[in-house]
Amino acid sequence: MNFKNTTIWTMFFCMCIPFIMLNNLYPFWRFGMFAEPVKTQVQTEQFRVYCKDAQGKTHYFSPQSIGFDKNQFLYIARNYYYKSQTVFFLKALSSIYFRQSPRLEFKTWQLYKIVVIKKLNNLRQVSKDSSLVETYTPDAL
Amino acid sequence: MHYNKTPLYIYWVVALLLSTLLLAYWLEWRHWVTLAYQQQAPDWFQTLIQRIYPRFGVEKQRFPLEFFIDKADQVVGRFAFISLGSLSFIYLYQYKVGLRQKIQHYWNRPTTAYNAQRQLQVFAGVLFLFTWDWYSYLSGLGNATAFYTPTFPYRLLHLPFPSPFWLLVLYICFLVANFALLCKFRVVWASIVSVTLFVLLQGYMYCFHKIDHTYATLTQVALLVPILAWHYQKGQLQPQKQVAAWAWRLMQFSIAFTYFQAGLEKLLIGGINWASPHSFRSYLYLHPTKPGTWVATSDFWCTVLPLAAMLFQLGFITIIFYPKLKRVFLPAGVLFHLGTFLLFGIGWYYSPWMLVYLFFIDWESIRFRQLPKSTKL
Repeated sequence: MNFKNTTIWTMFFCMCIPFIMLNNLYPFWRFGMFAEPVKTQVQTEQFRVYCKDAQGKTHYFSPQSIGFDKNQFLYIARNYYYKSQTVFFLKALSSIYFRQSPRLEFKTWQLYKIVVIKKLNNLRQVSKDSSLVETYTPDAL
Repeated sequence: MHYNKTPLYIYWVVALLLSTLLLAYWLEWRHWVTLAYQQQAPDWFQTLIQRIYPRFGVEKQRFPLEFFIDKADQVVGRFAFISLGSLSFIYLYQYKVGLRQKIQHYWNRPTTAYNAQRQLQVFAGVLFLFTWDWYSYLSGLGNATAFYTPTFPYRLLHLPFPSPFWLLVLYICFLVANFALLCKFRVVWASIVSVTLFVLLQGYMYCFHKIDHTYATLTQVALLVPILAWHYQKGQLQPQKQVAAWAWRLMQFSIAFTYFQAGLEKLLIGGINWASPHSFRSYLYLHPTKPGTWVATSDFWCTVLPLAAMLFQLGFITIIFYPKLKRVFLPAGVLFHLGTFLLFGIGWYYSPWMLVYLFFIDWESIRFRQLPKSTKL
């Protein structure tokens, strides 16, 4: 096989590997978005972090404040949640935040999980369930 | 011309081997998925799964056993599909002279140095357009290295996240290489540096738990750019300024094959029900936008749009065999991506997925059309 044929076949097989393995293998991707089986209900999962300051006032923690967009933050939070590493997650989050805004002091960091379920046959019927997953208090404060 | 053919019995042996593997999976190995789910599989198998499917640990908490058995069936089925497809293709290629000649003609037809040069410049231009903010984005991620989780090739190469100094150096090199490519200066080296840094810097963005598809087709095209640059440089030295065009055609094939794979995924996972209004509506509600919510109220649009999307994705590859269909599929592709943005809020008005269509344009034919009639041969 000459260089041309080798390259064509290699490219073809490299593109097929993520398709076969159902997984991304950077720099080759699997294109399975919107391919999941039909659902009878739409369930979305969100993770939110709230912080309490010294006066006990609660603030919503915006992922943008540390340079993450909402989606990226959701992926990271979900990953640590399902690996049961939420303390590590909040600890890392607080240390990144303090490094960038050392003057702002939050006493407590809380991770909430919000599940929204909509029935497809009755969209007005929306159930929302939010639960406190983890609370973290930085030692340094 | 004499052509060496693989003896027929080799095909039979490979087909038999594949069938045996399928049978072994069905009778024995399929059960190992259950064992892995229950943490009772042999250590080497458990480690293997961890290596090739690192999200298994997380997804196990979210999905039942059937989900993973279904996944394993899909993997084995797809492996058989690709293997048998490739085997059939090689057989037809070797034994059907007409088909072989058509394929060879497709890959061996040269293009002009002018067209190759324009393709390289388009690539550099597209990179400038989409990567101008990468430095600031990556610098932001540099503050969050606590969450740095290298993806497969980075894990293998033990690549750490670059320090601010190295990030700046890499980014400047990337910009300089793109600029050199745009100015046709040392195109081979410029393209190698540009593509390497494009893939490297992009990969760092995906080392924070989320892999994006935004640059997927552009990256596949990028991997072939240095080869086109090399042929372009060689072609410059020839009196007729002819350039081997197979790398350019492979770029087009990789874009078309990507759409085909995306369509096939929907058929294999969702089945024909994927195109039902019910399932399309559920996707619209998962990614709510104003136009999407309006479309969701109509059974007609919820039937027509997914069907059109599937036809578009599965049919896009036909432009490789019938280039005239570009006039249908490229505008349809622009509508498809704009529609995805409007209905699901995914992507943007100008996405790399649309701009890679520029690689389907033969710039030589456009130049030829613009020439005054008296200068045309």
